Amino acid sequence: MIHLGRRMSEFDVEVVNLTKAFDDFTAVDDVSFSIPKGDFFSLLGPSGCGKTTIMRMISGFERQTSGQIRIAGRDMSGIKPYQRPTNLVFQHLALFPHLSVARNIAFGLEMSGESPTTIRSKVADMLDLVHLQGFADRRISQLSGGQKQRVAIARALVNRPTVLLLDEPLGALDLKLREQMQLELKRIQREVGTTFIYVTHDQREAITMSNKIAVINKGRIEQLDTAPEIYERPGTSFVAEFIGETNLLTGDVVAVSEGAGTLAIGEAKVRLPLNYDATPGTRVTLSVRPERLSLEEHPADTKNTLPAVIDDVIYLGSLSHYQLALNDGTVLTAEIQNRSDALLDRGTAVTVSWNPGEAIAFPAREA
Amino acid sequence: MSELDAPPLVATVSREEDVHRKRIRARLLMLLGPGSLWLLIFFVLPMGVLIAMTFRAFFDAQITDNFTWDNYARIFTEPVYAKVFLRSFWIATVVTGVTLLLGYPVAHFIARKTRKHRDLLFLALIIPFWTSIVIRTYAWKILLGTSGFVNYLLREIGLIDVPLQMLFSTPAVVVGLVHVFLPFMIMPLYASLEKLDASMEEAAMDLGANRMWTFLRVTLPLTLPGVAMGCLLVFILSLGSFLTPDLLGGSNSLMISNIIQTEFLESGNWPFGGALSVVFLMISLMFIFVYNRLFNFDEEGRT
Repeated sequence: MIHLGRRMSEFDVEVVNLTKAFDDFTAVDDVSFSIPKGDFFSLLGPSGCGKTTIMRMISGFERQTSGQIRIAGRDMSGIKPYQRPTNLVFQHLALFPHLSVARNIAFGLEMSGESPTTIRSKVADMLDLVHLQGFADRRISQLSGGQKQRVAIARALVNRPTVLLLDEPLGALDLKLREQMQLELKRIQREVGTTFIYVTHDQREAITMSNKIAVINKGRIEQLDTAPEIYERPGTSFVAEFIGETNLLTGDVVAVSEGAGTLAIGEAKVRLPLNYDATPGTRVTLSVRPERLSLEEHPADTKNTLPAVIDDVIYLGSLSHYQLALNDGTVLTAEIQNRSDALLDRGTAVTVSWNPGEAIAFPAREA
Repeated sequence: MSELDAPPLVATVSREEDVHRKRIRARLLMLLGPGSLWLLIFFVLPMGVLIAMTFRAFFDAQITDNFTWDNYARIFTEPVYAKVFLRSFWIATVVTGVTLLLGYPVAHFIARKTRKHRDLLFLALIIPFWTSIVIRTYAWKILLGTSGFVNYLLREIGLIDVPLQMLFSTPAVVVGLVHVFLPFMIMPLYASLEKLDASMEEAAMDLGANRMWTFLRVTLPLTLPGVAMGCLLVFILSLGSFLTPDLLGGSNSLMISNIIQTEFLESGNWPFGGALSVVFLMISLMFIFVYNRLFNFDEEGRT
């Protein structure tokens, strides 16, 4: 079979060197990624990082300065939002207040000229999918936050888009409902098999739902990987800090022997992980997750140790967070499993230790 | 719809509450008093005098004390008055339609601009109010006259040989009224368009609606309260207009207010002029009532 002018692609979305420059700043800077069919892909970053702009360019509301967006292999340049095989769940949902739940969901079908019978059955299917049977004739103002969310998702999915974009749709919900909706979204995505692009600033949300996460900072992709990879092996100190909790220690490389660098942090010396190619004289930031720190009385010789004083203890049931003050005033957080022995008190002098291989090193960011 | 205010739980009102309620009532009276008094003296009383006047017979250029229904009967029996009423309604309807068609795109354009530009455009909208209507209407006289600018232009480009008689006609009145009342249409339209979340229109486009469908299915229905308000304002104002038909209209485009003015000031027939005013007022009130009935979905449909 020959497809003229339409390259078949295993990717639903391909973004190539996408750049968006506004008058005074570059919102999106040379971003590239590809999303395989049926993936749950997250664009994660702090507010103003450019993730929403990327999403608006994919849905066609914003035109890129340069670069290309292909959806199912087709170049989207010059294609209007209402001609694209994408649908969007808006941040504030943007449900039509003058239409009933069923008419909201039917909107896309009416626009594509479906027959009333088809519309009725497809709307019913959608109400089933989002578990809103019996809500067809309700007004939008009569729905709860979670129900509105479901209507918005049903409305966006009814036209069977190649890609569904979600712009922080859970932001307005309280924590419990949000967690419930996250599971719902995963279920819906599994059932329909549509590629989802989820835009969020909430790292937990991204981690729990996504196959792949693109961490975005200042218009660039800092790291694109699976959730465990991003958490365990952050590529930059920004990613390490943004995803989950971490302790950052910065110092100078003073020596390198047999591939392992030694880092001087104040008066203490610690070993860098073997996989970090250290050069003497450079500044390096070390990231150690709280759960990797331990407060053993007699740590093994192979571990890095730092003297510290317990500044505060936060008891969390199965575990405790210890705030540990180092000599230079830096405060580290250690997450320790609670055992039968008593908690350590405030003011106790301890030795905090970790295996060099469990830390991640980055060249220090210029201050 | 949902009345959250629960009825008082206890029927016995304590003395304290009673005092409090009295105090609130006193404050309300103080706030509303001056305005109400003003309206009473300068609006309600004269209105009463006028209505009483309409039942007095006008005989031999004299207002007599005899009671009569004749003034009202005359309005409904002499066809000339029905004609003037109908013409007034026709002109008001056309003016409303034209201002709506001209005003909606303008309001939409302004509402979708950034804050800074919006303020500037709004100022431009208000500037005409700094000039008296009389002067602006005279300007139309200059533009539309037989040796006016429009005729000059048409002759220069060779479309006509003999100047067109544009002044003193119903179209001239419509043109003048559209000019005067356009801002009254744009402002309420702008107010409801500005309230409309731009993502509503984006959502429609995202779901496959082109610009026309987006407008018809989302923008227009959601701004109907503004449309209704603008139309009501312009319709009522046009219906009662006096100056524009007086200056730009001919004897065939007189409106109700012109007839009323003639009765009061030229014929001196106050009872009949008064009766015309009362009938006119009743019809206007009827319109406002019907409009209210049709468009009070405003509160129900939103939020």
